[in-house]
Amino acid sequence: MVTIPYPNVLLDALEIGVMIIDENFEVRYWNQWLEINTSHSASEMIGKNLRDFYPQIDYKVLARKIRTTLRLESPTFYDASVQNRFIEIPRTKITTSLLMNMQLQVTISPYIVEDGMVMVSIYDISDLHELKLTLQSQMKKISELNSELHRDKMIIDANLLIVKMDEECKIIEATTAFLDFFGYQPESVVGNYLPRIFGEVSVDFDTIQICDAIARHQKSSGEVKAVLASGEEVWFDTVVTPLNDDESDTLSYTVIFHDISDKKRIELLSITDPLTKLFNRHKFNEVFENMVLRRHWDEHRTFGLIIADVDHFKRVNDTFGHQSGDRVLIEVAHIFSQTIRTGDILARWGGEEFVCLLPDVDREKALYVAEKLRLAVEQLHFPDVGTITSSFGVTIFASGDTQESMMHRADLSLYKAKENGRNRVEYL
Amino acid sequence: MKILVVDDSKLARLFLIKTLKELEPTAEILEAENGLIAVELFKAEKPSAVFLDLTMPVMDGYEALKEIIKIDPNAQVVIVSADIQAQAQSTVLESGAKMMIPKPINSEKMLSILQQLSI
Amino acid sequence: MQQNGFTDDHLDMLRELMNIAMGNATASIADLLEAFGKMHIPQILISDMEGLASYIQQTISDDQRNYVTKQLFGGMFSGEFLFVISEESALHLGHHLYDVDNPSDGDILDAVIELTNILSATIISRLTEELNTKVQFFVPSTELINGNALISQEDIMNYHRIIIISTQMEFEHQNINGHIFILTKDGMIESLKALIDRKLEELYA
Repeated sequence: MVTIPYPNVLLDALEIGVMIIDENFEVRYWNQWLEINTSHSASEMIGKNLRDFYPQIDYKVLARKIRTTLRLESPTFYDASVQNRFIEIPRTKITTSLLMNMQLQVTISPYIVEDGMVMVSIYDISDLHELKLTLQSQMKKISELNSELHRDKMIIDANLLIVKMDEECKIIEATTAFLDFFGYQPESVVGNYLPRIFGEVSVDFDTIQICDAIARHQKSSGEVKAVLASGEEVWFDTVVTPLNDDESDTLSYTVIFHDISDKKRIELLSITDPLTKLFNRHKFNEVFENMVLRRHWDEHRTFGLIIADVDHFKRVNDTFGHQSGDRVLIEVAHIFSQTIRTGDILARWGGEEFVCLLPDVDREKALYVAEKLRLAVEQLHFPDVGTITSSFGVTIFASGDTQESMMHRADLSLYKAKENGRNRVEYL
Repeated sequence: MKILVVDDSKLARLFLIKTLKELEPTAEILEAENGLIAVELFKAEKPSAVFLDLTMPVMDGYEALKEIIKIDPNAQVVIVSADIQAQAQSTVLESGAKMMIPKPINSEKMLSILQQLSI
Repeated sequence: MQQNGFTDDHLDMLRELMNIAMGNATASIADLLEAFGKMHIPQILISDMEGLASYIQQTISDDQRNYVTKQLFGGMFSGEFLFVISEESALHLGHHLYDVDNPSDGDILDAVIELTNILSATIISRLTEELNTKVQFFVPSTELINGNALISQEDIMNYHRIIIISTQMEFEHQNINGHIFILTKDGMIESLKALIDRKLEELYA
């Protein structure tokens, strides 16, 4: 064993407190660090009992720890994480001090085992402990924020219809609300292309504008209609937003579907005739006005107006009842909308009268369409009413015409048709 | 003489047998790796002494000891164990073991054991 | 069966040494803490971090809080000593060591550290003694955690070869139950193997 000269100098130079005590807590050595930090000098302490100076220590436990150290001939540690369980040393730090007393790390090491003596070393870990406390409170805050974030995420997932897609319009993620709304399982949606999912019979959904916006890497919004498996029609306001990463490379696209079905239905109510489901007069006038005032017509391009009227309709109602009469009107409306061309605007004017605007027609074409309609009605058959006929008044727009002047002319030609025996088309 | 050595560790048995053979080279050694096999062997072979470990799977030393004493109340059983607590010692002595020795057993200790057993 | 160069004999020897070390530990505890411990057969496993994580999942229940004390030890045989004890067991331990009806959180924490101290000191010292090498202990630290997340997720990424020596410490009378894990890795495994080889040579000589 190597002997070092002046061991006291060494122990005093250490930045830890060192004391030597025996099993009865009699102090045999007290180093300078302890002198300075406890304001008890070595001469005061040596030969005295620790109990006289620090009565608050649990000596039963300390005895056991000393006994353990001696028996095992191995150091015993006190962890200072919760409370200071050894001597109390006040802390001199004034700025940022969460702790009044030092947080101590205490190690009891065997010194001279045969004489029951141990060395107790004390290390100040207050700064470390403060850091730990600060860290703990930060972690707690983060944890709380995370919980909030998670809750928000859950709310979004449960209530909003949102789909995340890649550049190819393939679905990466879909909220639970989205899946539930359409009755889809996540497996059949995630990883699949949006048009393909809605291309099935189950839901008729025009996804083209969404995929277009994605292809153009643009933010866009628009209305989209879908027909569910139940036949119910729903409308969505869709907002497509590209999500970029830090280098503005687009990672994915988020599409938010906002259900506007209710609003749409109300809108439709105001422009739809409830019985025939055609446009009502109000909507027709709006479109008519638009056509007359805002579009450019000349001798090469003009539009037509047809007024149709079911012959002897009052008689049908009186003879067979209003229900039969209604059925007649519904069927006539249906056959009319099947017969007209795309772009033609059909509406129920009122009662048994229908109107139709035909863009881009001349006199011949307008008459042709009217004749087609007349034939279609003639060929209808009802179980109770039997067959019916209708009369038509046709005109086309001329320079200087207004809504009123056109309607007047069409009305006159309708009257002419009635006068000339009904079930015919007349032109003015 | 026949001696039964019981321990779940092959090495522990090996070590004990080696020490034993140094003192009794002609002894016939039987081995068992758990209490159940030990009891069966004891019944079948009637060894003159048993070195029995305590912590074993299937049937531990405490159980095996009781079974062996049932078969032969005068069985010369030496408990060889890592568990050296006083309470363990009193338990096995009460159950009929002749002595309890901590592992590992060196030659001196083995000599002393063999001298104390009536074999 | 070969596991990373460790033969059955190596594992058997390690298990036996651990057994002996545990025997010492229980004897010391009986003496110092006045509690009779029941020994369990130690398990020796050689795995990686993922294996350790899943082993811990299997061994420690996650439906309660656990005090986890970790202590490092150094030398030719170096590694980490872990002692895991449930909140309930720790309460009983605190009760036993502090002799009060309601031990405070500080009492319980200290009790856990005291027990860990004794366990690590006896077991590791005895193990290293048998292996004829010296050991140095470092300051332990204790945490109360929810469930059985002893290892942080980030650590799972590191590939380490690890020897896991694990056993249970049971004090039936006082209703205290704890798990001990001794972990050593990579380079240390070679060290350990060399030390065990020396021991085996003595045996087969």
